[in-house]
Amino acid sequence: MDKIDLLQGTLDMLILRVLARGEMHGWGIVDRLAQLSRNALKLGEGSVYPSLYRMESKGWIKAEWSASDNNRKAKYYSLTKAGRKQLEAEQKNWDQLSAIIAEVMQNA
Amino acid sequence: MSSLRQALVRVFRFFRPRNFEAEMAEEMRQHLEQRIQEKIADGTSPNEAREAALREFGGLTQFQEECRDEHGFPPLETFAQDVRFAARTLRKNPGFTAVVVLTLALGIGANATVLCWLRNLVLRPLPGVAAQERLVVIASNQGGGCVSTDDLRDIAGLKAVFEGALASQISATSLEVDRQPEWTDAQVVSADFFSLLGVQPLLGRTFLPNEDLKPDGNPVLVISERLWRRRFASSRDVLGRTVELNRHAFTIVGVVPDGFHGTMPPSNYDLWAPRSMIWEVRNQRLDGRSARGWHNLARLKPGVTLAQANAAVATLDAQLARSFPDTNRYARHRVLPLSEAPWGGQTIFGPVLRLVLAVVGGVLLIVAANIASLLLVRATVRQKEIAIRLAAGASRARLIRLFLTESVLLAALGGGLGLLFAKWAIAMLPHVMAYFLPKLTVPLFLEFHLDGATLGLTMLVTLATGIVFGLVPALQASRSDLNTVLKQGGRTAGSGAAQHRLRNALVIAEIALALVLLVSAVLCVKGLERARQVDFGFAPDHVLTAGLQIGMNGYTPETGPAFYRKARAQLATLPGVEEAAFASWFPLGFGGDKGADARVEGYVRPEGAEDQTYEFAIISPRYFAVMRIPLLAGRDFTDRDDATAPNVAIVNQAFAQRFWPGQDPLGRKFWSRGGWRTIVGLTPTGKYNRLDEPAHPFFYLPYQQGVPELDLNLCLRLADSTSSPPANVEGFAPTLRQALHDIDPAVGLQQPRSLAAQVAVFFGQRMATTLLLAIGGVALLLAAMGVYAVMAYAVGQRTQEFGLRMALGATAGDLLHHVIRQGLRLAAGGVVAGTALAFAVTHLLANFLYGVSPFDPATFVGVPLIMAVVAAIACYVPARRATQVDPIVALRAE
Repeated sequence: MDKIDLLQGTLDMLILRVLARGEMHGWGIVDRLAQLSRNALKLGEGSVYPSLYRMESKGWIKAEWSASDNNRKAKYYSLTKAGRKQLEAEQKNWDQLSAIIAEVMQNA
Repeated sequence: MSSLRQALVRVFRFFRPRNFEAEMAEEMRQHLEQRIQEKIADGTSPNEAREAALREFGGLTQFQEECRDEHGFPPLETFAQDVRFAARTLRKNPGFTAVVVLTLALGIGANATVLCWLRNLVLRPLPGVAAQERLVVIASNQGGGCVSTDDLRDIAGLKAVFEGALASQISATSLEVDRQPEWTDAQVVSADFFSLLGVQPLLGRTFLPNEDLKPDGNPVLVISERLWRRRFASSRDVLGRTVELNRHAFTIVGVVPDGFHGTMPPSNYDLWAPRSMIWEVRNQRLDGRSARGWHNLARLKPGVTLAQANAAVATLDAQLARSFPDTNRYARHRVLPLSEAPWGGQTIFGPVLRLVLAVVGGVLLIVAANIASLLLVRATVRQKEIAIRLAAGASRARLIRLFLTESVLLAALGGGLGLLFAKWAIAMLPHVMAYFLPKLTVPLFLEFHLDGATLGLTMLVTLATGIVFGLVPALQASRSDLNTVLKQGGRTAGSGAAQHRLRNALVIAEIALALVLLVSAVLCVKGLERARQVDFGFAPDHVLTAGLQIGMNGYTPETGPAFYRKARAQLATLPGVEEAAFASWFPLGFGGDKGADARVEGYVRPEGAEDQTYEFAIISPRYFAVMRIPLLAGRDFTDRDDATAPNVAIVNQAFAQRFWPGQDPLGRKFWSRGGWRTIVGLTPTGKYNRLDEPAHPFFYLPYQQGVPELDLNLCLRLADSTSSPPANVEGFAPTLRQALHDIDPAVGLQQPRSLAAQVAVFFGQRMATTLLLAIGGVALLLAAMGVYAVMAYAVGQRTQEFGLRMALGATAGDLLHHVIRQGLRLAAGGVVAGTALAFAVTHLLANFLYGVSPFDPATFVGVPLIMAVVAAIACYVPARRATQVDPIVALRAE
């Protein structure tokens, strides 16, 4: 199966959704996305980072260096309150949008 | 809220860019490491694992760049880049940077200095006093602006506009503590003096309400912290201590903090007594409505304007004129801002400093024009670099920002250095004053510091200068047409017509401004020269003066005349002394004189006449001989004109003319100072207060009939041999001191000084002239620099053309003429504009120009000529360079 491109702007939402379950480091997010999408998304692994940095400076997520499993310091991201709100808003928006698109595509 | 947070986070990060880079690299390294380990664990070879991990990650540097973009604070980040870039550019051109920073420092430093002086000497001259912006002065149209306490009480009673008003007078006093006498400057003040000024005592109390009412009633003193430290070793026992002031016992009741210096800035006062004690402190009485001899300050109610206060006072004046026609028919009062007080430092420094501020403001404009033209020249040189940046995708906005950053950085460096310069110059003020006022008697407090207002204003000026002189070249450069510039190799691109015009306009403006300053300076020099030649009506050279103040040494109005008679007789016989006399006052000094009412039988005052007081002096016989004032008719006073003899007076011609036009005044009578007086002598009309004053009536009274004036000043005319050159006059002081000691050891000599040094009329002119000359010279130099820079640049740009011309047969002389003519056209523009501008503004100098027209033709011809010559010289150097172009080299250069 060909991998498909992610819709513009949806990566942020996906990352927020993934982080909603708990804190995670960069490659963990990539693994989780791959697992959830069953490897169907075409995504350079590094592309999560600009997204993470953007959301961090917007205050949706926060980053912290803490000890990882192998006792090295790694950077962990987690949702902030503002991030949770943002996720809710985007989720709602997405649901509406996809419903409308589905309806249009079916009934046109 | 969240956007604020975001901004803060970004600003915070901006200061830690290193950490950011390191952390980002580490994070991505760990990511790759993780993947590589996973792949190796799956059995891939390490090399393959690495390659695969990198491939799956995507463009590493691209993502890092994106992260930086997402993370940083773009405006700040680019700003930091711009600053670094600008700093590098400036470092690469040390000569240019040094010239710009130094001239700017000069301009900004001079402005900060003068602003600080103006603020501390004129605008807010009372340190230690609360809410100075609501303090005003009440100036009467009589007695040099002073008021009477009765009038002031009624004015202060206008409760709708005033919170209150205080009266004060100054006096040098002899303070004796533990038998150690010293001269101390004191003020006699109304009881509400300290409370109205908001000055709280450090120890004890200030004056009680009504403590100033009963004449000679309350001998109490408030002293300064300075005096307390110096004479009482900061002891708390000072309260309740009795000291002798002018041989009268006073009790110290309070100490006020060091920050307070009294209300006649910039003179320093250390003692305050209630005004009821004026006789003990000043040997004078100033009671009643007609005794308009009090300085004052009033405090406006919050929100009340000067106009409202003036309206209220005018209404009151009309009422007083009806109620007290004898004293108030012609008296009018005006409410003036503190900075326009008709007494104190404001009168001396206000006009000079305002003028100087205007002048240094002009210099700053010249500096800015100069720097703008230098930057413009440089911008054209950098045209190619700019074009490449534009071609490589830099936005015009970004380029403008780059230029602005550079100029603001320059301005900041110049401003910083300028403030250092100002700090130094402000600290030099006491020395500057000592130079201009070498014989000032009262100690001054001139230790000013750069205050917040001055600093803020300077910073604003700096920023504005930076933006103004950066914006012009920035807009010019970024507007240039990319194609043309790149095609022409950036060589001739800068000579576009628009840029040419702008550069020329800047140079013309510079020359014009410098010309205005120079014309003003030369006019002032001429005015000063003229003033020095004016006939004062007396001859101050070879005259030594000194204060005596025998009232403080135990004499009374009854015993005083005997002392003066004896002293005069003995001093006149001293070897080296030609004449000796006493006087209450000397003309053209800082002291001001006294005014008194004068009435003449049958004389009807013309309606609307302003001043009903006439100035007078109390003198001893031979005063006119000492001062070399001729007697036109009648006789001098003699020792027989005493309290038992008929009252007599000597008047000047203007006095005679006023009351008996065309008639002989001798034998006529007028009423003044409590009695009818017969005129026995006539003098010419001289100069009494200012050189430019109109001729006005003046009269003299003999000291033995002039009580209550006990304290007189001694004046001696010394033989030319004992006092040559004139500065040596004061060398006679020890001899005089000894002679006086022989007459009465109790009488001390106060501040023996040459009269010439006290003639203070030149103070404003001298200070303005010296400063204007110095600043005018700097302006001339700056203008020459501007002409030079622009011409040198123009010549540099046309090297090839000159080579071609020479190859085609032009001689060196042809080229020289060609370039100089071009430069002189600029200079001519500047000179014409400057002359026109000078015509428009020199009338503002009228106060400083004695006997010289603000449109003095010689100045208006000579100075522009000098300017033109200087401009020609500034052109000559680059023109010479044009003639030395080697045609071969020039033509091959491209």
